[in-house]
Amino acid sequence: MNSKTLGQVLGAVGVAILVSSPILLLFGAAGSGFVLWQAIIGLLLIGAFLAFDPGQVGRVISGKGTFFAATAGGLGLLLVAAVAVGNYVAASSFPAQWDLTKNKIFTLAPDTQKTLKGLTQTVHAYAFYTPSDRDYAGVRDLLQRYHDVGGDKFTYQFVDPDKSPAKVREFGIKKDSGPALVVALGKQQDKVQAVSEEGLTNAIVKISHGGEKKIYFTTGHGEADIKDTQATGYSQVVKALANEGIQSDTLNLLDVKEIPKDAEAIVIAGPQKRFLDPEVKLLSDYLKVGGHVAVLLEPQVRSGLSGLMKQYGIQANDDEIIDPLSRLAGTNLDVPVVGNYAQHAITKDFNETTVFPTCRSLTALSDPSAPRPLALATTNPTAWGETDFAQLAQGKASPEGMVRGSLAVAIVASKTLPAGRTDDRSSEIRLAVFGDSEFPDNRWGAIGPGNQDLFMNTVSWMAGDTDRITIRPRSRAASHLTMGQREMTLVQFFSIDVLPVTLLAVGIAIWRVRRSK
Amino acid sequence: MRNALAIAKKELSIYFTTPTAYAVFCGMTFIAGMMFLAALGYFQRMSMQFLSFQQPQLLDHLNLTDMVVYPLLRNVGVIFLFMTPFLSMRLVADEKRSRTFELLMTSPLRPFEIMLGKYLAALGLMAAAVILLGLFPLIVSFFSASGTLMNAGTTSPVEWPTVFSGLAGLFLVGAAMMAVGMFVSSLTESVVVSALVTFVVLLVVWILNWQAGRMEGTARAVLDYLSMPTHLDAFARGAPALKDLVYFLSFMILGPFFTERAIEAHRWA
Repeated sequence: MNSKTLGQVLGAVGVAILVSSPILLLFGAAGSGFVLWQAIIGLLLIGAFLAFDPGQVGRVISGKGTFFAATAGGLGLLLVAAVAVGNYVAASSFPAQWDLTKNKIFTLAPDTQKTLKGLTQTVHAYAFYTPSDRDYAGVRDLLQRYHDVGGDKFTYQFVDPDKSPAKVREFGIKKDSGPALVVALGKQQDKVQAVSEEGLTNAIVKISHGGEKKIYFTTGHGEADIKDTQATGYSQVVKALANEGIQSDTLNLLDVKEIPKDAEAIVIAGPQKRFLDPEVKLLSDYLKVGGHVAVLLEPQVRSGLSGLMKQYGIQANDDEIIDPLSRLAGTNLDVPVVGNYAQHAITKDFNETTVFPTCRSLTALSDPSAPRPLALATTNPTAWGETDFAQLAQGKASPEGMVRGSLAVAIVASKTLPAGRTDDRSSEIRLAVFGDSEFPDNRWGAIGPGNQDLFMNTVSWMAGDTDRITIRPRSRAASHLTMGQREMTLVQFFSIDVLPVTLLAVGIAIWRVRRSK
Repeated sequence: MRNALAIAKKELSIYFTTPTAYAVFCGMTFIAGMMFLAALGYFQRMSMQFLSFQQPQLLDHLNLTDMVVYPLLRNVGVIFLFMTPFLSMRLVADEKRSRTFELLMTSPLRPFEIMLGKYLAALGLMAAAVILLGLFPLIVSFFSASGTLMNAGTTSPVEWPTVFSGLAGLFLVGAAMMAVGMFVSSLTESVVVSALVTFVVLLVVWILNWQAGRMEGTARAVLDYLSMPTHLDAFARGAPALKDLVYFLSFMILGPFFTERAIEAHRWA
């Protein structure tokens, strides 16, 4: 083999290696370093081809085709670049799509458009989805539609939870809870409860409107400490609330003449001692002008709040809920697991189970003068309210003679106030009572899958805007067919008999006729 | 322009006076027909099931466009992937093989006119294919209009605007594929090589978004964008954006440009 032939072989191998390198980068398993080396070797081989046959270079340069090839190539590159720019501009600057569907299912609702256009700061959405998640494409399309309308005021990014565990921790996404969508504005974040246009728009409204809201936890009665990072403290849930733009502070009712003006809600988290009369009056006066109070009780404790609660139709029973059939595995008898929730703003789209360690049962009184209370969460029908605390202390309980059935562990009462009163703090009185105060604490908040969320939903309902946006999901108009065997056969006949066979017949006919000519 | 039209006419007459186009269209309608019937049968079974279980809330989720027409149009894109190389392979390569290319080159026709004529013929072929495919929704619509099919509303269960959008998308897919095929065809004398290379190139463009699945961020967005099904999808579900149109037009500009250069190159070689 002479050197010229060798050079040609080397050159051919070089071209093949060089051309294949970008394709391998895209489809192969090799890393970019490997591919880079491959490209370099390809270039070296082509260099060897030229070195073995130096005359080739001269022939190519002086060839008449070279000038043409160079101009054509240059022009081609320019055109490719122009087309690339055109695509980029079309994709980034003209995002609007023509919605040709009958029900305009790819167009955002007017409320969403208004919300997005009214944004003054950038809302950024983090979608914690792995590329293989079923809804991936749907969520991407939804977010893109929001971005199309909101422009640089609404941006989004996808985060693969498997690849970025740090981000998952940063946003407090629970492990194995599936995909999650979080919207963030500055330091505030909100997890979108139901990933839909309605859920996303409401989350945006929530973090863009509210700004910082403030709630107060009462002190002085042995309540749970919001700064305590131990098992019985509330530090975790308070931090989570701060992420949603709700700041928490403490309040000793004996130190103040009235509830602070900036209070969106008062939380009484498990008092161990009685509230004194002036304190109760303060709370009562606050409620009457549209105050929002959450009371978290404990069994066997006289809180001094029963009169106040009774005014709003809620009674705390002197018992402790036992549910041997629905309790957390490996715990005492008195940790009922709850999965029944009423229809309410707090429990909308909420389907996680909650656990309530040592919980007293509540009763909604049917007092016509009081606003109608709603049992928010109830136990299984297998539960009963144990009143024999002496026996219970020994770890024994029996349902004999006790109140049995679905017992309420949480009750909410609300009453809309007449419009036009100047002293009102809000347009609605809101009172939520829980039979247990440990469920959102650092220990149980981590154990019960829905514990923290239930508490946070309650607080955001208290502190939140009353006007949630409701968007009916749009879908194509329903259409269905019922066909008999005859119709189905006809459709079949036309689609795979008549159509292809006609084409085949015409083809054969033309072929035969032309051949016979 | 007259010259280009004359060439287009000649090309189309070759397609339609030989069995090529008929064979390809016959195969296409047969496979599409089977897909169509499978989807329609499933849809009908679901309708029946929900009706017999008296579950109106489930019936509300049934939609012919979503469950039959949309998957059909998307799948036909894959049929196009196999079909267009056979239609485009002979566009230029055949002229070289049968030694008529020299005649063309010595004629007063400009390479641009040759290219334009051939591409117009290719577009005509794709238009014919799309019209044939439009017969499937038409069959459903015809039967429902004649009262033998029951549908929820009083109007046809076929959402024509969405269907037309999907068919337009299919035409653009075909036009883009033909643009690639014509260019490849202009590079070789062998129709077999032309068909094979075209198929490989189109397949790579088609499955780019498979690779996108394992990436994140910009790389994923770019790969998704470069992949053809992304844009066909937008048309098929009735919500195309300008970028989808521009994407297909890019092929329709680049393919003919490089073809014209490749033909012109023969003068210089």
